[in-house]
Amino acid sequence: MNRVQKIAWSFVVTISVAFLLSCIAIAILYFKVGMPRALAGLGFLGIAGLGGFSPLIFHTDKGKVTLDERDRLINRRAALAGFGTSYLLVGLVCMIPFFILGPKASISVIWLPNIFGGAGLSMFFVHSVAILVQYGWGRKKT
Amino acid sequence: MNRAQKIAWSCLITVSISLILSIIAVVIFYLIFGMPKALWGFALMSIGLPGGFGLMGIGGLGVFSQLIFKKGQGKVRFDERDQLFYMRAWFLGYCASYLFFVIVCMTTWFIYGPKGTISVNVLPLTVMGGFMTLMLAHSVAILAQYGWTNKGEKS
Repeated sequence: MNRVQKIAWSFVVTISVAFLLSCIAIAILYFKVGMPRALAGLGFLGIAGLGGFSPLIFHTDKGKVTLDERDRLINRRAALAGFGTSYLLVGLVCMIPFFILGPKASISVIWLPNIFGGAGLSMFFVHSVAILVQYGWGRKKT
Repeated sequence: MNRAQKIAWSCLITVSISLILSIIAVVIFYLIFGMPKALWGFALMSIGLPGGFGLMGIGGLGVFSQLIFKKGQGKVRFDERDQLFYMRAWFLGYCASYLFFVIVCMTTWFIYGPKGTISVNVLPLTVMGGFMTLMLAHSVAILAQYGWTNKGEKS
């Protein structure tokens, strides 16, 4: 695998583990302490931040040409896929509460930065998946 | 001017006018009725008076420019240069609207604090503002690339 594939795999693994652990924690806490205290399980999402260390762990590939036009095209498509997904998520999360709760309801202002936390995670996840789909999930392609 | 420039100018003018009129209306209604009636005006809807942001609907008139300005008659209507301009303009538009979402959400959080509450109407209005920002930035990018007044070299 090249460096980009390894970094993409680390993001996919850390974000997936963080998301799964959060869901499990929220489910367990819901039965024990109920809502909204069960939302403390969202703290496990911090594990996803460990993926940010991967550019330091996986060093730049050796060789004269480290990034060619194909790599640039793959990165650009992956970035567009990630950006498009996070944009769609922001739009859906902004519109769905309006239809569910109705125009006379009010929400906690803490949800606004949380929307972007979710958008950021989804962007990194989709970007990494797009990288792996284009390069290959495990093969040695450059 | 080519068709893209004309459409960009019409979107720019309609969105700018709607934004300016909305701000003026919100300021006037704020002095008369105070907040939040100045923004939403739901209580005023019963007597036929819209809130200040109702005037943003004028910005929607820019969409009719696609029907008003017909496609060119030549054999080549859209070449690679036009495609590149449109791609850059849409990319800039989406970046500007995303930045708008972030600024609105984070500014609200800083103003109200973590324990505050807001009306759920803020969320769809944020999406509407993002769309207006997208149209504005897209139009400006098209005009900056083709030229604001020159003939834009019809494709």
